[in-house]
Order: sequence, then structure tokens, then C-alpha cells
Amino acid sequence: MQEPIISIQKLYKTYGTKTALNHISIEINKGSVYGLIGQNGAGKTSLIRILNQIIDANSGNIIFKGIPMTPNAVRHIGYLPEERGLYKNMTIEEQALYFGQLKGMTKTKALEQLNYWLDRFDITDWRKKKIQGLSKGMAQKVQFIITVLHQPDLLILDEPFSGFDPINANLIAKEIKTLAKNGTTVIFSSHRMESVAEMCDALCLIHHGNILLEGSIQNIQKKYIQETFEVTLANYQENELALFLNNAAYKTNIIQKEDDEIRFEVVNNQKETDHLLQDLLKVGKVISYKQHTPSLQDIFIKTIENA
Amino acid sequence: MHKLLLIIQREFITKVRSKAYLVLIFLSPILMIGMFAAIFYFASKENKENYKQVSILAVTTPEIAADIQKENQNITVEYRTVISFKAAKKLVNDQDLNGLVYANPLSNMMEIYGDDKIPLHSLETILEKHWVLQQLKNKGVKEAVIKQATENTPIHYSKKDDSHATIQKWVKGTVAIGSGYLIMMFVIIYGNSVMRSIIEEKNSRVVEIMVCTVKPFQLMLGKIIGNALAGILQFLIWGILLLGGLFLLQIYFPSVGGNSDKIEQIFNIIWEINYTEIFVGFVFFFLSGYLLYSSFYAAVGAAVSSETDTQQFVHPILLPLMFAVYIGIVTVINGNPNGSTALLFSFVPFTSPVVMLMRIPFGVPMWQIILSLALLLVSFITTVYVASKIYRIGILTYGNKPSMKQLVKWMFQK
Repeated sequence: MQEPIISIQKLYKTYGTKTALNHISIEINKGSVYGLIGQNGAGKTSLIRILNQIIDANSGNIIFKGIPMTPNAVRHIGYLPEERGLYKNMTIEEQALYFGQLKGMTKTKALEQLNYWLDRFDITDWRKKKIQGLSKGMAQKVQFIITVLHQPDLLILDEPFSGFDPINANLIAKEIKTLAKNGTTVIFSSHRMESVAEMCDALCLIHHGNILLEGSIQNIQKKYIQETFEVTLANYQENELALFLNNAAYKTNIIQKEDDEIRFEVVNNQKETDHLLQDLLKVGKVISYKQHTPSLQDIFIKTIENA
Repeated sequence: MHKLLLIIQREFITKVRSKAYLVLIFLSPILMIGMFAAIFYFASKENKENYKQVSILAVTTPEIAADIQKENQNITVEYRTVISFKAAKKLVNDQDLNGLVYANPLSNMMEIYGDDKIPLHSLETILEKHWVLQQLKNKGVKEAVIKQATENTPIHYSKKDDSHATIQKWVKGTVAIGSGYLIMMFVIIYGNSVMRSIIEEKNSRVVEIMVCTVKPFQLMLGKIIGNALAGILQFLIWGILLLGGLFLLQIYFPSVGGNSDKIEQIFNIIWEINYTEIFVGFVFFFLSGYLLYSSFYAAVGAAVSSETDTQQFVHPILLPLMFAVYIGIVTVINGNPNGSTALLFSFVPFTSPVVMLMRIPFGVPMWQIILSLALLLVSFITTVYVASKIYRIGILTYGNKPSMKQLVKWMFQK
């Protein structure tokens, strides 16, 4: 079993009378990419700010790398906030040195890491450029470099792809995956479910300060999988089809019907799926038979609606 | 501590290499000197013009007219012999002259008519002298006796020489008002600079990254100290430029016109002043005054999202500073820089940086300076604590500008 790098225990945070986090507990494994999803105002930013020690929780514990989190832990955390920016009048090199040293790096180490990343993104000639002279996308790239410069153990990324064009978003996604592969744990907060599905191993859905869903993406999808199948039959017999459509054990919705081929969606109301297949074979030749897997987006909306 | 030093370093470097700072250092003194030179030039020109304009119509004997001109060489005397008093008055009014002396000792008529620019006392004395002479002549006193009695009188008037004390008071007053005004300017300029820097950090959203690396209090303190160092550097440069300028002035203008003695005296008094004391005083009182006020500026910067929203909060900060300058100027001009009013306001923390510095050139006991600084330090610790509470919440709050009520709420929020 993998050792969690961070263990959040019964975290509770209020702003006046409003509860932002209601005794939430999460464990995140080392080297995993963990998705944090939820609507605006759900409590994600509060959780991220507590992890970054920007604000304090009312109660609860955070165990980081096996010990209760200390102020020094921020040295091992890289944070890319959703609302981000850098000092406009400073060059990229100056910013890297400044933020690197604030995170406890030596000047030499910070420069060495800057060289590595500039080289990796093929932007070595940007070194002396000021942020005010860069486009939004270019500035975002620099922002990413500043976030990962001090080689953090935990990387907290809030909407990391906002402001990037698809090519650069892909480039950053690749880098995040590489970092995770090399042992960096990533907390990934986003509204874009397709990014979460693509990037994350596990996720947590927060709603009004409570956790509604938590676990690996496969397990969550498995839990929400429905007994809905998409079927295509050929050479079907009309009388058998009529019998099938009237069978109370199934709820059928025809999608397409052409000559001797028919495509429909069927919800199995029985416990056994074997009967469905046997009954379908009576109607015609089964060309395709696929169980319907709900998307994260569907699960997200359905869970929030039912909450 | 290392983080605080890094923040101070960044703030200092960013400030001193900005174009605005260079303009402030080198262009401002030129503009200020130019402005004062223009004021002095126009004021003296005005005085000279006023002086030249004094002219008197003298309808009198040649002796009296000659005496008037002799005693008042700077006024113009227009001499007439035969003209009626009424016509003479009309002439004065028509030609816009300052006055009229209509006097004939023989006819018992001696009139002086004019505005307040005419040398009334001198004219009265001259007419009185000629009246007495005529009376004596009428009584048969011999002319030789009269001449002996009126000329070569043993009365001798010598002017008390208090020019040194006057010049000393003037020079010290200038230094006092100048340094008090300078400290107010510095507090406003650098306080504003802290405020703008915080607003910029908030608007560019870099603050979110900063506060996950350093404590908000460290960030605020680093900003305040970094700007203070830039202020002291500016004061040093200005001090060197000013003293260097005065030194050059003394070399190249040692004896211009007939005022060379006076100029030498002024320079002697300028060099008599204890600049080390003023410099040390400025640094200490600027630092403590600036620290006190800049924490308020920092809180305002954190609370708002744009510079236009700052006005409402900045006005209450400026009022005590301006009040201090007025109190200082009034007490210095009234020649009472060690009086009870000046003493009181040199201990009140919000006015003491300005008022105490204005008193220093006139000599202040050391215990008063130490007490004033100690009170400032205690006030700074209190205000920075309150300001840091507002700052901590304000920097992460975007949107509408908060009300005073909200700011008070932030002070007590955990």
C-alpha cells in the first residue's frame, strides 16, 4: 500500500457564520495526480489556502510527509493559483532568483534550475525579458517555471491550463505527468472535467464544504455505471423485436433503424445481464453490445443535483 | 529573517532604479531651487518698484525742499514755488504722487498731505526745525547764534548691530522649516509608494504567490523598510547636493556688490549649524514617523483594489501631518520653538516627527528627543499590529472597496 504524502484530517474552516470546510478528511498518495473539483464557492480555494498556510483552519490536522505540517513545509510546496501574476518590472531571471531564494534555494541552484526549464521549454533567450513584454501565454509558461523551480514534493495547481493555447496546454500537461512520474504529488483543481479525467488518478468532489465523492476515477465511474447498454442488431425479426420492446424487464429506446439493422439503448431492470444477451440473440444477430460508462461531467452534475 | 532581507532588497532595488525615483532625486531639487529663486526675484523686484514710486510735491522754500531731499535721498522731490494749496493737492491727485509738503514759515502755513508711503516723521522734523528757526529770527536772535544752536548738535545716533542675531534666526528658521517640510514630503511620498506597491501586487495577483511563501506581516514590513531605505538614500543625496551647492556658492559668489559682509556672515552662520545632529535627527524622526504613517498607507493599499479608491482613506492620514507642519511653522516664525505648544506637539506621535525636527536647530534637550522617539516607537508597534490585521485580509480580498466598518471588522477577525 502506498504511503500518503499528505493526510488531511477533519479540517474545519468558517468565515463568520459561513462554513467553508466541514470536517473534511482526504489522503493523497505520493506521486499521484489528485483532482479537486467543485462549484465556485464550494471550499476548494479555502482548502488550497490552508494547505499553503495562507490562512488557518479553525480545527483539524494536516500531516505532511509523516509529520504535522510546520511553517517550513511551504518550502516543499509549489503553488500555481488561479488568479496569478508576476512582478511586471522584473526580468524572468530576477523573478526566478527572487522566488527561488524565498523558497530556500541558493542563488546557484535557482539559476541551475532556471536554465534547465528555459532549455526544456526552448525559451533560453527569454532570460532577460521583463514580464510586461510577454504575451499572456508566455507569462503563464514563466509562471509554471517559477512554481516548479524549487522542485517541490507537492504541487498545487489551480486551473493550470487557463490562459494557454491548446499546444502549450498540452506541453504543460506533459510536464505535469512527467513530474508526477518522477515522484511529485500534484493536487489539480479544475472546473474542466475532461482535464481532470485525463490528468488525475483520483479525485474529490467538494460541495458546500462537504466531500460528496472521493476515490480513484475508475472506482467512482464503476460506482456510477448504469445497467444501460448500447446494442446494434442485424437481420432482426420484427415479431421478436416487438416482443422484446414490450418486455417489462427492459426499457428500450430506439436510436436508429435502417433496413435490416437496428441500434437502440436498453436499460436492464433485471439483476442478471446474461438474460438480456440471450433475449437479444432471439431478436437478431448481435453486432455490438456495449455497457454505457457515465462521464465525469455527468457524475458531477448528477451528484450535485442529488446533494 | 532571510526572507525579510530578500523582500527589503527587492523593494529597495525596484524603487531606486525606477525612472520616477531618478526624476525625484535630480529634477526635484532643480525645480525647487528654481521656484524659490523665482519667488525671491519677483519679491525683490516688487519691493524696488514700490520704493521708486515714492514722490513728493514740495511747494515751499528752497531751503526746506533742499532739506527734504537731503534727508530722504530715495524719494523724488518735485519742487514748485507759486501754487495754491488747493491746486497743489489737485496736482498730487492728478499726477498720482504720494504726497505734498505745502509750507511757508513766513505765512504760518505748514501742511503735509499724503499716503502712508511718505516719510512722515522726517517731514515733520524738517518743518518743525524751519518753524523754530523762523520764530527765533522773528524774535531777533542773531543768525550766527541760531546757526550755532541748530547745526553741529552733539546728538549722535548709532544703530544697534543685531544683524548677526537676525541672520542667525533667519537661517535657523529656514533650516527648521525646510527640514520639517521635507520630513512631511518624505512621509507622504514614501508612504504613497508603499501603498502603490501593494495595490500593484494585488492587481497583478502576485500577492497570492507571495503570501504562500512569506507571512503577510513579513511582506508588509519588507515593503515598508525597503522604501524607507530608498528614502534615506534620497535624503543623503539631497544633503550632499545641498551642502556641495552651498560650498560652491561660497567660492564663486564671495563678494558680489556691497553686501559681501552680509553674505559672508550668512555663510558663517550656515556652517555654524550642527548638520550631524540634524542629519541624525532627520533619519530617526523620518524613520519613526514614516514607519508610523506607512503602516496606515499599507493597510489602505491592501484594503482597496485601485488607486482611485484610496482618496477616502488617505485624507485622514494627511491631516495630522499638515497640522504638524503648520504648528511647526507658526512656532518657528513666532520665535517660540521651545514654547509649550511646540513642546506638546513634539511629543504627540502623529505630529512629533515634524515638530521636533523643526525645533532641533534651536537646541532641544536630549531627554525630550529620546522621549519623543520612544513614544513614536510604541505608537508604531501598535499601528503596525492593527495595520497588519487589515493587510492580511485585505490583500486576498478583491472587488468593492470596503467600508470603515468592514476594516474595523477585519482588525478583529482571526
